[in-house]
Amino acid sequence: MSGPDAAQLERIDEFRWRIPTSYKCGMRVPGVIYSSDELLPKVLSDRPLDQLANVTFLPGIISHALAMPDVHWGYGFPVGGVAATDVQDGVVSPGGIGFDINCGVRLIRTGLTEEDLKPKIERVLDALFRAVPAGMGTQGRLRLNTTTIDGVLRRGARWVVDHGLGWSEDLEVAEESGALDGADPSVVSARAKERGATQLGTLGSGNHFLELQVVDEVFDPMAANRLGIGERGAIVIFVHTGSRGCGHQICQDYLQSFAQAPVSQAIELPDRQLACAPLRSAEGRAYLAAMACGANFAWANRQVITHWTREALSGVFGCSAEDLGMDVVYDVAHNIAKIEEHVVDGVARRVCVHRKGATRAFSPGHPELPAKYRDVGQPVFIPGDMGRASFVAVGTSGAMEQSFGSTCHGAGRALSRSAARRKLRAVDMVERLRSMGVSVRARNTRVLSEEAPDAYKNVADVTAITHGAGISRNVARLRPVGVIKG
Amino acid sequence: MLRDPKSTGGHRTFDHTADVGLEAWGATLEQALAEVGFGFQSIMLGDGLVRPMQSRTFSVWAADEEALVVAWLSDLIFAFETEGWLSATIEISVTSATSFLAFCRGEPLDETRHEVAVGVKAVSYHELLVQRDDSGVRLRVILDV
Repeated sequence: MSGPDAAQLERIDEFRWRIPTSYKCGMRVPGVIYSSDELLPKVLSDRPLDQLANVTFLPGIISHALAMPDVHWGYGFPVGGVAATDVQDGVVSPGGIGFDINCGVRLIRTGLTEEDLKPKIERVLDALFRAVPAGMGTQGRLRLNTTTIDGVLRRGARWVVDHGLGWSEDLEVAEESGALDGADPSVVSARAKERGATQLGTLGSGNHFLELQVVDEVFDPMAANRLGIGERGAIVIFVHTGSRGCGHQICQDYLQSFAQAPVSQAIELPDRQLACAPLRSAEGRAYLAAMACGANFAWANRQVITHWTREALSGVFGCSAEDLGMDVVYDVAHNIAKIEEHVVDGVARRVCVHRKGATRAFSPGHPELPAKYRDVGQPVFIPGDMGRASFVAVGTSGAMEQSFGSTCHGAGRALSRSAARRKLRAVDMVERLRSMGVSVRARNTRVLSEEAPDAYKNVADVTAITHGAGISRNVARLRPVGVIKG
Repeated sequence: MLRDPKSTGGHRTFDHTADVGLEAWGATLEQALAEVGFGFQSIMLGDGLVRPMQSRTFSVWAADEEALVVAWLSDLIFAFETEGWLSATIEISVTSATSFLAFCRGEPLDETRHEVAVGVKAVSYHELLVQRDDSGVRLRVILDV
């Protein structure tokens, strides 16, 4: 099915539309889409809204399934989908997390300015490109064995810091302190471990990147100062990657095992990719324990990359990473399921929030935030495309009230990969990006067409919606100056 | 890639917003399964001839016929990621409704000769299709890239 048309949607307010349960037989709750008059036609011409309606078939789903303004066609869940299920009688669906478990973004600040970087940017990019392996199936500089990988899966970024690749303060500024509780390596397959063993500290391919950005505009000086990015012209670094082959295999394994499990087979769903298991079943609990391992691999991965990024810049600038002020600002997951407490219709409930291409955006005062951010809200990073801009935002009480503490995760694709390749020649992209003031290193130039600025929606349009709807608050806009792609 | 010249099978990609759709067809299920293997490889690999230097057999099984396609491509992803395995020839022998053997000849990735264009992360069940008609068997699958 291609999805609902405009006439089937009910407008809620300036930024929200509802897909009523009458759209499709089997919907347990409505779907709600965050969008704008300008972006909605684009969303309707793609196919994510039928996928959003399918998500509402999940047993135990609470209130509504949500589509963030960057939503686009995925598999199972749309990319940009959020759904909360009740921990007592609800399910967990690996397709609601995705293959790349804990794909996410880490932001590292620096004390450097654009003027400091300009004369050295090519050297910096060369050093980063050498330090951080990128591309498909790339083998990293670390080799884990079957024993050491269990430590990574259990302890995430903490394992990496304990092995000397990072600062203890890094752990204070990551979701879950860089390690999700409940990780059990014994429910992760040998295949997943083998795929992960050579890939710790690698970027991967596709939309993953390491980017040098300039703070271009500050909308909220108080929050920006608290995050350490309050100076216009300051250089910051984005790390966007996930759990690599380890997480991909965990998701693949559990989709297969759910397909054969009677508790899952008993649940009728319109899409096999939504295969799910009750949260209280052995199958559901095993998946959550394995997913936590995948999530921890991803936090460990971003931690290793942080360390090598510090080393690379330290080498080029001839001073320590501490002297360069390279503190981690925060680290967010955008493909994950979390057990959280949310107030639903005035009652506090424990729910499993699936975020598939969506970012947690907890409000000021939330007890899970590090003390330094408790009065400004959780930092949220919204990468745009590699030519225009990215945004830094913070979580809000609006997110807690409307969206299970969630906001968008990026710009969202506007063109498919093949359409982008047809329209944009890779060889022209390096020059085009240079004319936009962006230097680039890529393992493979084809990815430059697929990931070209034109292949994405304008992230400013997306963040205008999340800001306007009040599910996150814009703090600063960043402009890319250097990009490493897989 | 080497192919049976009498083959009536083939493969092509189709558009998916964030990922890649793959369609493969053949006169028989065996042929369609071989084609979906080649199609997967052609998404990953840009230019570069794969030589039939070594042999390798995959034993593939799953809960049903659709899941068989997912299991087969998952095996190829695993073999590529852990050993760089690339197939030059694929011969399928169906052993039951939900299992088959794939006899492959090929070689490990050699980056001086093979260009890896796109990384395929995983195989989705979304809109997965095994379809039979008078002309044979058609498979459709969406790959996460």
